[in-house]
Amino acid sequence: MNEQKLNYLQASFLVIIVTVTHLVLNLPNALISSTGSASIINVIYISILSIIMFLLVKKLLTPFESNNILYVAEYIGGKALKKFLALLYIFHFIFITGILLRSFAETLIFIYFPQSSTWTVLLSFLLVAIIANKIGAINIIKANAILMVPILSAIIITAISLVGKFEINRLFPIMGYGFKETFINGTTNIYAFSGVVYIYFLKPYLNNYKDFSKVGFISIAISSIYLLLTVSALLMMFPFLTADNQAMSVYLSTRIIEYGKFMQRTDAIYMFVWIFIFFSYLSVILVYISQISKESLQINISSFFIYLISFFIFIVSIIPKNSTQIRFLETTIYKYSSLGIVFILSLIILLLGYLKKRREKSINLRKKVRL
Amino acid sequence: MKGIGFTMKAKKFLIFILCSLVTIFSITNKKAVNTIDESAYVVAMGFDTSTSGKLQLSLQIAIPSSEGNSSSGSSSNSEQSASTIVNTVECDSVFSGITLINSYISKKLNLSYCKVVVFSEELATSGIENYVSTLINDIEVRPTCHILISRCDAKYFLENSKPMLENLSSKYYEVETSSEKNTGYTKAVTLLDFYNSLYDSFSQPCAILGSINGANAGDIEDNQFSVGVNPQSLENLNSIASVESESSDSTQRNIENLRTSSI
Repeated sequence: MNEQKLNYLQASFLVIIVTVTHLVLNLPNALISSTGSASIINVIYISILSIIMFLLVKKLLTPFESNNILYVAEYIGGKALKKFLALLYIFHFIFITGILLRSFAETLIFIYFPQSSTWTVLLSFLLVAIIANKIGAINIIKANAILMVPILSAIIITAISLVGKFEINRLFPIMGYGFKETFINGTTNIYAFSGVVYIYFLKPYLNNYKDFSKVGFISIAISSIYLLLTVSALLMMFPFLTADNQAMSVYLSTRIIEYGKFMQRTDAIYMFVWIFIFFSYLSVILVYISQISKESLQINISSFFIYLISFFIFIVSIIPKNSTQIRFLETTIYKYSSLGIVFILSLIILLLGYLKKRREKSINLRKKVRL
Repeated sequence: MKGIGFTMKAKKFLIFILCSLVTIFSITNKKAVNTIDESAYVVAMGFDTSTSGKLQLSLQIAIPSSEGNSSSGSSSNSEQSASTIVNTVECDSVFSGITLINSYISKKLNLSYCKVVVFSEELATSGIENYVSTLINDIEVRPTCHILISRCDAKYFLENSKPMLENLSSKYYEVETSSEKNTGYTKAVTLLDFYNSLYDSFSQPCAILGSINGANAGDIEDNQFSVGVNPQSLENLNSIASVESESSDSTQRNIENLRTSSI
């Protein structure tokens, strides 16, 4: 990734793939469960909040030019803080990826391979990610950019195919469970944009670090549009009281899609596309983890390291005993860990770095004035 | 140098082949996948209340070879009835009933091609929300499968519902329940429509109210006799269907309304 830098679209797609992966799993379901028929308003609200947050991040990173959050951590707390933050992010990524992988694998087993063991399905996904990482990070990024076209198109086609079955009345009452649930407690739903965590690391890898704002806005805008599209489609398809289904929420909607008498079970096509989403997501996450480790922990990225990280992801993914535990980890634990690490800790570090930089600048200015 | 490059390429190629083989064999082995030969396809499901107060689950299962023969051969009713079998069990829940049938038939039941779910009027009166919720949460049952309330027992309905213009039972159920497209007299209600209406605050669930030869639950004893003596007597009679409101909370009231309106 260091040798060949990224253009803004490739970088944006690296962020979008994370949000889209969450979208096809249970993210829309979780949002609808928490805010009911006010989910659309809530999604618009959290989209605005995430744009504001990005503007803040952009402002806080401005004095550091082409450096990322790990450099800021080193700047304020030395190498110890940098290594601590890098390890925290790596654990966070491994945990989230492991849980999402298990969730997707369980759905796949549930629908198509009822007698397959979980570990074989998990391993088959990890094998693809390992092979892809051995081929090279830049190839993964390019492949991810290409795969984005069918992936994003599939979601739009799903929504368009369902239009005839939408029931506008399900959007009412427009304020769902009330103002407090939508705008106060609903603020925590900003975790839906936890994919922006990857923006913190992208700046040094961009062709031109001034493209950073473009990357942020494009990725947040596309993520918001797709989140809005998925949530509104599900909300108008199913009564929100029944959103506690065990299967993937978007999958449930694709089961209803029929294109005439000859194309009745199109869910398999969509599932096929989502398998590629997951291949791409896993490969991208391994790239992120490798780059963070290389940059902050000075680890030489070898095949052994990729095997090791994949092994950790595999271990995390086999920890949950049943779907209830997976759902709990996927929604509750993921939600609060994302809020804590991505939106609170990272912002605090960036803020401290910014303040320290300003203080240094003013001290230097005073010295110059005295001289 | 060339030799080293070739060895590396060969090594990568071997790793790739090994990984592919592991993946292919781990997922697509005979045990992992349900093939057509190992599955018994359910065409219709029936729900009744048994005499002991338990759930009586009836499954109409297609016999693939018979279905194939009937499509190419004659269309007499005796052949059509041989193309499917109806299995009935008494059980506490839908899943326990399916497991029970699975335990004694040689193949694994597959509900993916279930075209219609029939509830007896008696059961519908006591509320069918639980059964509908169970079915909609089953990944095999398609949300597009139709719902029907039968005036007679669901088992009786499945056993005696004989297609006259169709060779395949599954096709018959699919076309028959969608006849509203031609007539406008009925309403094609799918499992998803019914389920959504149960929870929507702005609509009431409804389903087709059907019967075989106008048979009610109380008449079945007599009809069974006549069917036993002369099954052909049913041939010239059409099943009747009408739309009626059903709901989990007000099912009984709605059915009573129907009776009043019928009279």
